[in-house]
Amino acid sequence: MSEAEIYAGLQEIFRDVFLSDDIELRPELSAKDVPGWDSFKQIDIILAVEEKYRIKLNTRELDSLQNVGDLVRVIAAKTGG
Amino acid sequence: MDDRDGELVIDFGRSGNSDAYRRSGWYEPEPRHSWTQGSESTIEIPRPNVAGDYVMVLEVGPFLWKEKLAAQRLTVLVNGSELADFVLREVSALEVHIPWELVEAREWVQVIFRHPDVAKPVDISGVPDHREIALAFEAVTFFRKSEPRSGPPEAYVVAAGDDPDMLPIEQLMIRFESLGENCEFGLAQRRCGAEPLGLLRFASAPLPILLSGLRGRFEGMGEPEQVDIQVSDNHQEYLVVDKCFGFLYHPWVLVGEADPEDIRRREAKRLPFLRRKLLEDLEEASKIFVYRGMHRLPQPLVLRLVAAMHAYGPTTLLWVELQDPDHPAGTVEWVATGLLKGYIDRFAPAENAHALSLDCWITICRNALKLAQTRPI
Repeated sequence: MSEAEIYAGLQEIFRDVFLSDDIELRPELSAKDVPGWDSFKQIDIILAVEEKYRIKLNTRELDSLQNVGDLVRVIAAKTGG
Repeated sequence: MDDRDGELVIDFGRSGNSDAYRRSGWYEPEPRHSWTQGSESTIEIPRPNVAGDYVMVLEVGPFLWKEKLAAQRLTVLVNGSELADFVLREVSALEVHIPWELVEAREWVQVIFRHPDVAKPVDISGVPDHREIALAFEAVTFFRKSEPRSGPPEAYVVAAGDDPDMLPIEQLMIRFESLGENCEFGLAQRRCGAEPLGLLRFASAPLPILLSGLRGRFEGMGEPEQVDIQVSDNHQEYLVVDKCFGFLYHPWVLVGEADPEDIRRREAKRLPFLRRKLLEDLEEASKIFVYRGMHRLPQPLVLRLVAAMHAYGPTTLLWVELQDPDHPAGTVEWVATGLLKGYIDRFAPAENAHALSLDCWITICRNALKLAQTRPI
């Protein structure tokens, strides 16, 4: 799966989680940049990612996530992208 | 009684198990505790099967009324021998050491609590309560005394990384994970910009419930039929109740903001994920777990928690208590293998965990991380 495809998939997830079309995903986007992106939203994002890509993120991978780019890299690695 | 280490926890709340152990001198249990009746109360517990010295921890609150009744005295006798005297001025956890010689000869261990300052609220404060009360017992925990587990010390070293003194507070605080007892530390992390994903970060997790969860690997938490949504006492927010173990936590949703059934469905998805993560964190042992009791905890009881955590991996627990003359606020020290003790200037009031001592929490975390990276005992 290409990075572009992953970004497109994540865009849908973020739209559903934040109920907003205004979030434009980019690699450096982090929780600090999005109002309301707290640990609860982070859980909802991860759950949706795990369901959509049929993967499980372990605790090291979860703790390493600093921004959207990190999440894309983890998904790519786990889906053979 | 648990045959591994003779542990018995008596819960004096209404839904607890104290009926099997309370003898004379008790009023009927109330939601969280049972009041003593008169000047003497008795419990009887079966003698443990495993020989050894034992510790009994009493979690108890005194009936007080300003200067008129400023303290309650308590004497504890086990099988007729006087073992301890206390003066209670606040809710406390009291430690009583019981030598094996005192209990080995009898099938049942008789424990007598003498509380001579018993009083009727109607006489002291004027409230229309004619009961003769002295102490409200919440729990009694009885377990075999053991030395702190020894283990290869290097296993307890948290991976060295950046200098704790130089770490930005967000990166410092994310290296810790709260196990309770309330949400104060989770909120301290939030104030620092750290948002770790933690099962118990915003939970009410009294020690007996936490121990039960750890020993049961939190099995069943999050199953839809085990999640209940309640409204808080102040009717302002929803609370999530885990019916498996009794954890209670904030979903941070105000009444009217969402449908309770939607919250329940959402939490039934989140909890299994957070449970999985907590178990991995305990096994990986790369974080420092944090626990503070809602009242002072005796060290033997905290060592029970450390032992339960060490069943997963060589984790480190940071146990935080109020400062004392020998330990000014911010002090952190190793007190047992895998157990750090930190001292804080004050805890947030029970009714407002947001009013916390942030600078002191940060200092404690920096000092704890420094110790955890260097010299475990």
